[in-house]
Amino acid sequence: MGASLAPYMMKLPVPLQAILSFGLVDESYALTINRINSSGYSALYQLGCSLTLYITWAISTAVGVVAGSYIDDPLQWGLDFAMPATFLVLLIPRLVDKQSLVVCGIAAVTAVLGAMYLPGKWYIIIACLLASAIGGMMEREGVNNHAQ
Amino acid sequence: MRSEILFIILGMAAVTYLTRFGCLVLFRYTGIPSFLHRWLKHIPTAILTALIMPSLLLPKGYLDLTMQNHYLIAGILAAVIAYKSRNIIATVGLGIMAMITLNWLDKM
Repeated sequence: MGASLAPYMMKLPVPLQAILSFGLVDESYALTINRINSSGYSALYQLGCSLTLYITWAISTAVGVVAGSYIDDPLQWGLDFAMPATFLVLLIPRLVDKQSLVVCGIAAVTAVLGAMYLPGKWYIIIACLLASAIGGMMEREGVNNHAQ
Repeated sequence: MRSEILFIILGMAAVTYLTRFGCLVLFRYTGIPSFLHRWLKHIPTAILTALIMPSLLLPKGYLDLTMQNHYLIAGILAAVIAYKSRNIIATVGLGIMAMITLNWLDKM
């Protein structure tokens, strides 16, 4: 995540980079990347996302600690479905060309196989690296074809 | 025991922070090579897919493609809503409502 935002964050002053890095989580990353697609990178937008998420997270954790003991099993309500649902909204608008669809397909297959056979969360890293590397290679072929 | 937990938290915080900030520091000196730039472009699509698919297809840790898998059914519904509306609140709201409804139907 850090590396893929680096091209945009490089020009910022180092203290701001340090703060933004601190606030970089899956959700703030996804929101920031999406904003780049729609209207360009904004450090202020990223800071706002991170800050809002951070405060919400802290408050929700406190509420969860206090209220959690009254709910026997929060997962049976399916509230954790909010995470994949949010990411779906961010993913689907990105699937506009052949390369993105291929990257998505490879990542899906690799991640599911990885989740079945590998320990821990390694499937995320492996699927991400493999699929994006193949996407990058397709990119170069596409550019070459264009030039010819 | 308590201080051990605190050290574990601090250690994990340091490692996590390094992965966020490390690349920026490195690229400041080296610049970003163009092959890496093409590669990085596809990271968001790949990472989002890698986060979504296993949580829908293996919610309990094993592959579950049956109608009993509420995450899968609600996920397909949420994907359609996401495609039509492009709206996070609508997708998450209707998705969770679908999850609760499916759970409720199961218990009937």
